[in-house]
Amino acid sequence: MDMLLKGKRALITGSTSGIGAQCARVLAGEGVSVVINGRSADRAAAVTEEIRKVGGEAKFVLGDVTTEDGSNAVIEGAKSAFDGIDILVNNVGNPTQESHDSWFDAPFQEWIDDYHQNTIAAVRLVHAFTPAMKERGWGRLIQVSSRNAISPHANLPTYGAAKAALNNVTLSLSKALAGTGVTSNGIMPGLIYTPQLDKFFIETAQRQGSDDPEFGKQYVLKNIVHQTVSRLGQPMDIAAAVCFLASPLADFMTGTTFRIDGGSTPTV
Amino acid sequence: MTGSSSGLGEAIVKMLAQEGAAVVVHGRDSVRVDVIVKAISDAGGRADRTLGDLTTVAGADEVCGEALANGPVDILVNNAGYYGSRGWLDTPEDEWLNAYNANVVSGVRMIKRLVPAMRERGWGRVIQIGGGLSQQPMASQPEYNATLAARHNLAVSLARDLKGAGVTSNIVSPGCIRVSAVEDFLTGVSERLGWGESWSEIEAGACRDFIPNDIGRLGRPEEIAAAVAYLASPHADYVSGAMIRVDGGLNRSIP
Repeated sequence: MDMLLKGKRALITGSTSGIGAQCARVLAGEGVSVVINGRSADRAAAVTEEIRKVGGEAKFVLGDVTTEDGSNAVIEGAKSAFDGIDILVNNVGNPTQESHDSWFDAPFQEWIDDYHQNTIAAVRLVHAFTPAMKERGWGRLIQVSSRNAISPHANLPTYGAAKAALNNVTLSLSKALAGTGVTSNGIMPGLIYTPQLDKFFIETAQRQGSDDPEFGKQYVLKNIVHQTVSRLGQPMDIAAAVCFLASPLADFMTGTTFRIDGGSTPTV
Repeated sequence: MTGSSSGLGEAIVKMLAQEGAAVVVHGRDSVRVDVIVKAISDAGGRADRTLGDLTTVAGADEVCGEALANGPVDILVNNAGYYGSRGWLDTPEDEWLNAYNANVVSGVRMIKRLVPAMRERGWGRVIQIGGGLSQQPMASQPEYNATLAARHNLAVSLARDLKGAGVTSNIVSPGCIRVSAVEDFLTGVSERLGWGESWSEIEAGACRDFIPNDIGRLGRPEEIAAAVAYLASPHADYVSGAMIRVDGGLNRSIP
């Protein structure tokens, strides 16, 4: 399917691995010039080289978008990489801490830190890139949220709340951008497998008397996430949706956030 | 694809055919169905036809029998239905029941007849065409609005039932989309409210007074079809129990 994306330019925050990197690969495969971003020069260079090797256009800009200085560096670098950004994928955002044993163990600072990382960081970038998109009469603001925004785990309360705020921002932004040709949408991933999860799977397995991360993964699938799909999510599941939302085929979608969570949110 | 001889259904069936799916075009008007089948075949796609009224068991049996004649069905798009037009208190109680049969139970009949085989094969797609009125209902056509809420609900209950089956169940929820029935309706409103005579004047008036949205126009049927194509594809294997709103921001609250 021609996604009509050739020649567009995208910044994907946090794209040196995992979901972000896969979004970059898929967009580059559709002819988008992509700006890779992260904090590791080695990983950023590797993803960039990988994309270029298969004929894609990619550059990288280092910086931590969850800090003001880092964000400013990324904004400046991304704007000059391809002379503008048409598609902003706000992908950076993880829980700042591992999950707690209890809701009540999350310290107050963590509420603030998660809001900064998962909500404010995106807002800062929206401020930076939207004016030029409006001038050009076309643009995409795509927020990678989480199912925790709408069906939160009690022991990740700060993260879910920040993502819920991000969903609200996605909607208010679409009102602010009415008639400009710039749309604002989001997606809510469920549990997406990346190698960072192996530690969690091993710990889970150990609590059941095994050392095998695969055992831990199956245990999680059976007992912790209550999906209707039998496998964990993978970065490609998210990347395909980001590509769809970025595309002019989705010109009429704005203000909405949808789930890619294997059926783990049980409500309508 | 139920109800695919015009409107949204037509756009969906054409787009899926363009992506290489063999499609079954359904409607109640033989001439209109044949026009769509021919258009798809002329463009190099594969299309079969089935005629029938899904509001009866016999009709549903016939439609599914014909649909399955040339091979299994992997993707069911429940689109068929009709909308009402009356005020809240003016809508007769019988209309509430008729609408439920035509808009909800018709889809249930299709699911019951086609999904078990999807489950057996370990892969399938059930996509409800719902609607924004399910969540942001107007005062008029209340019976229709309620049937949309039921469509959204049954898509999610079905997703629960399909746990582990490799078959997903989801909803595409359109806003106001430019199909000929809507064009006719808005042209009539324009005559009353004086928006103007050209389509762009009518659309502008509608977006100002009737369906205020952030994109400032009606949606195009292809924009609904694109969301259906995404959900139908293996790229959406991990998507189930989800609702994709394609409404230009017409619904004003978080989905």
